[in-house]
Amino acid sequence: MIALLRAGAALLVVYSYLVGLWLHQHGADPQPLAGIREWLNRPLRAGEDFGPFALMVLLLCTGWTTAAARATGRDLLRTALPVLVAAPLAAAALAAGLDVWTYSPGAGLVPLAWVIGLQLVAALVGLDRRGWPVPAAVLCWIVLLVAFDVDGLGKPALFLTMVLVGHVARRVADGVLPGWAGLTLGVGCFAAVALLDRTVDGLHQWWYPVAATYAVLVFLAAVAVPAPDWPVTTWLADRAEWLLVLSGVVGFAVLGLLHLRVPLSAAILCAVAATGLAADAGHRLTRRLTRRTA
Amino acid sequence: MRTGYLHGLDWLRVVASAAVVYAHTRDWFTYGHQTWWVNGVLDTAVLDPLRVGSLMAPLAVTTFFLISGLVVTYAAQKESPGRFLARRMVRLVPALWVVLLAVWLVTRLGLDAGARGEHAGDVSTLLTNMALLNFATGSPGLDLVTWTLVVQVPFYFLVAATIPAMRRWPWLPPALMLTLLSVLMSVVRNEDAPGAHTLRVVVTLLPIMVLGQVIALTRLGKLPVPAGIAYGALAWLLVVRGDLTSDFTPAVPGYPQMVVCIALLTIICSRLTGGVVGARWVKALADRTYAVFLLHVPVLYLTPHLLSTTAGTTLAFAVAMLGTAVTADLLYRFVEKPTVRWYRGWENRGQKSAERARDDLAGRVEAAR
Amino acid sequence: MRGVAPGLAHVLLAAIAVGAVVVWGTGADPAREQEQVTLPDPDPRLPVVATLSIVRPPGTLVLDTTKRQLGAPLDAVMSEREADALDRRGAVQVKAQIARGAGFSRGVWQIAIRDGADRSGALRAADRLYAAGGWELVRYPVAGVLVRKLTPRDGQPLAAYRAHYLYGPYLIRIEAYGPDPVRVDRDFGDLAARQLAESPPGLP
Repeated sequence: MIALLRAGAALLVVYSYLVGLWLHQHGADPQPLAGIREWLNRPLRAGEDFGPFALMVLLLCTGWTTAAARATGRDLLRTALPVLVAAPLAAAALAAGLDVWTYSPGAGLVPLAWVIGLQLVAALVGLDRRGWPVPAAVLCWIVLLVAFDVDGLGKPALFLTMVLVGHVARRVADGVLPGWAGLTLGVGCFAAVALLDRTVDGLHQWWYPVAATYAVLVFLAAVAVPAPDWPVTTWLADRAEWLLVLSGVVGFAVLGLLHLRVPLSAAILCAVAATGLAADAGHRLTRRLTRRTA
Repeated sequence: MRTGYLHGLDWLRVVASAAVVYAHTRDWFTYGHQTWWVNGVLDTAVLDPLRVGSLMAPLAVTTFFLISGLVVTYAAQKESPGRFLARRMVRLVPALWVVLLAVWLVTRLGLDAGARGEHAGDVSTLLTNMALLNFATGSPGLDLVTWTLVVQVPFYFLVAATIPAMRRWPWLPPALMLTLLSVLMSVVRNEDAPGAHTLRVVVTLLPIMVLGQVIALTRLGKLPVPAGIAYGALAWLLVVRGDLTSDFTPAVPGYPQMVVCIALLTIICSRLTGGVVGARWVKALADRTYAVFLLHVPVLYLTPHLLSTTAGTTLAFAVAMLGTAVTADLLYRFVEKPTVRWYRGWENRGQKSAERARDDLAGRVEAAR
Repeated sequence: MRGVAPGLAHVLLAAIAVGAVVVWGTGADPAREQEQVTLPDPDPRLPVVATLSIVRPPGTLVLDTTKRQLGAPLDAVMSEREADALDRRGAVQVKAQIARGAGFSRGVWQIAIRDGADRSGALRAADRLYAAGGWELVRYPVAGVLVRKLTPRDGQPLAAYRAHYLYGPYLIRIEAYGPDPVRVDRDFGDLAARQLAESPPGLP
C-alpha cells in the first residue's frame, strides 16, 4: 500500500505544482480545474490543489519506510540526487530564458527542495530504534523555533511532523512502541502543527492542519491494507521525488514554450509527459549511480 | 465476513456525544450572557488551529449518522425487513417519547426546558413531536435535537425495503438510495415551507448514512474495495451538491470536510480491538449516548430555573452536567434497556435456545441505534 | 452475463439521476438567484473563500450570528425600520457579533448586499437612519468610513458610536455604547482600528 500511496501523492504533486500552479501564475482558471476547486478543494478546505496534502502523504510514507531500515550512504545519495540534478538544470533553463518555477532567480532554484531535505532528515530519524527519543527531541526543537521566532524554518518544521508521525506509526505497528506512547507522540505532533500554524507568518491562510489531518487519516486507514503491485503504481512510486522537483523545471519550461503555440490542454499534456520522461531518466540515473557505489 | 462487536466505534460515539454536548453548552453560555473559560482555552489551543471551532455540530451529527448507517447494515444482514424495522423502533421510540413527555409536562408548568414556540404546551404539540411531524408542519419543537431522527427513520425504512435485494445484490441498495436522493435533490429546490426544508435536510444528509452502509458492506466483503470507494465518493459528492445548491441546508458549513474525516476515522476505529478500546466503561458510556443526546438540552435549559440562577453560571453548568449524567443513566436503565429486553423476549417466545442465540448475535453487533 | 446486469442497472440509475438534473436542475432554487452575493475570491488556490470579514469584539458575546452559513435575516437582529431601509437597498443577511462587559457594549456587523444592488446606496441609507435620529457626523481619518456619534443628554444617558463603510460585497458596521463617554470613545477607537486593519474599506 505504501507504493500506492506514493503513486497517488506523485500524481497529485504533478497536478498541483505543474498544472494548478502554472495556470494560477498565468492568470488562468479553466474548467475542469475550476470545477475541481469548487467541488473538491473548497468543500474539503484543501488548498493549493492538494499539493500540501500530497507532500504530507509522501513524508508520512518516508517516515514509515525509514523506520524499518537503517539508511546507507547509497540511500542518502538516492534521496538527494533529484535536487542535485534539478538545481543546475533549473539554473541552465533560467539562463536560457525558459520559464522555470523558482522563488526568485538565484535564491531557491528548486522551490520544493526542502521536501527532499526533510527526507534526508527522515533517514536520521530512522536511526532511532526505540521510536520515541528523536521524535520527542524534534518536537522540543519546534517549540524552541517558535520561542525564538525563527520563521524561515516554520513551514519545513510543520511538514517534518509528518515524518515523525510515519516513523511513530511504524514503531507502534512493529510493537517497538506501546500504543499509548505512539498516541501521545502523535498528539504532540498535531500540537506542533497547530502551534506553527498559529505563530509562523504566512502559514495561517493555507489551513495546513486540515491537510495534515487528511494525510494522517488516509495514511492510517490505508497503510495496513494490502494492495496489488501494479506496474504503473510502482513506476510512479519509484519516481515520486523526481516528479516533485522536475515539475517546476521541465514541466514549466515545456508549458512555457508550448502554451502560445498549441491549445492549452495539449501543452499541459506535453508538459506532463516531458516531466514523466525526465523523471524516468532521473530514476535510471539513480539506479546506475547507486549500483556503481554498491 | 467480519462480524462481531465493533468496539472501536464506541470511542467515536462517546467523542461525538461530548462534541454535541459541548456545542450546545457553548450556545447556552452565550444565551445566558456568560463567558465560558473552557471555550476560550479549547478554541485557542485546539479548535481554532484545526479550524473545527464551528464544526462541532457537523462532527457530532456526521459521526452519529455514519456509525448508524454502518451498524444497521450489519444488523440487516441477519434480520428480516419487519424484524429490522421493529428492532430499530423499539430502540428509538420509547426513550424518545418519555423525554418528549417529560419536556412537555415541564413546559406546561411554565419552566424553560429548551422548547421553542408559542404553543409548546399544547397537546397537539406533544403528539406532533412524538410523530416527529413538528419538523414537517413547523409546529413548536419540544426537543430540537430530535431533528436527526427525521433523517435516520427514513433511512431505516429504505434499508428495510432493500434487505431482500441486499442479500443477493449488495451493491443495489446504496445505488438505489443514491439515485433516489439525487432525484429528490433536483426536485426539492424551494425550502420556504417547513416540510420542504425538512425534506431538503433529509436529502442532503441521508447520503452520510448511505456512506456508513457502504463502509459496512465493504468491511463485510460484500462490495469490492474499488466499488466501495466509488459509491462512497458518490455519496460524498451528493452531500457537497446539497451544500453548494442551498443557502439554508446545511445551516452550518463544514459537512463535506467532516464526512471525509469521520469516514476515515470510522474505518480506522472499526479495526481497533483490545485494551482500553474494549473497556467496559467505554461501552457503558457508548450505550448511553442516545439518552445523553435526548436529554442534555432540556436539562441544560431547565437547571438555571431550578437553581434560580442564569444560564452559564458555574453552578448551573456543574449541576446540568451531573443532571444529564444521572437522567441519561436512568433513561437507559429503566426505559431503553428494559424495552429492548422485553421485545427480544417477545420475539424469542417459543424459540429454542440455539435459534435464539443466532438472533441475539445479530442484535449484539448493533453498536448504536 | 454476470457483469452485464449490474452494469446495465448502473447505467439506468445514472440516466435517471442525470435526467432529473436536466429536467429540474442540480437543486439550486431559481427564486433565490436575485439574492446571490458573490464573495471576493482573491486566490483560487486558497482552501476557503473567506465568509467573515469582522473581528471579534472584546467581552462576553451576547449575540453571535456568525456560525450559520447565511447568518441571520435582517429582521431577526434589527428594528423593523432599519431592516426595511436596508432591505430596500439590497441587504440580504447579517453576520454580527455583539459583546458586553460592565455595562458597555461593542459590536461589529457584516451586512451582505446582493449582486447588482447599489452598495453605496446601502451605505448612505444606513448613515441617513442615524442622521435622522440626531446622531452627529464625526470626522474620521480613514476615507470611506462614515462615523456618527450620540452624546448623552436629558432622557438619553448613553454615549454611542455607529460607523459604516463598504468592504467588498459587505456593509460593515462598527458600534460601541455605554454610560461613560470617555470609555466609549476609547472602546470605539480600539475596535474600529482593529476592524479597519483587518478589512479596510474597498475591495479585498
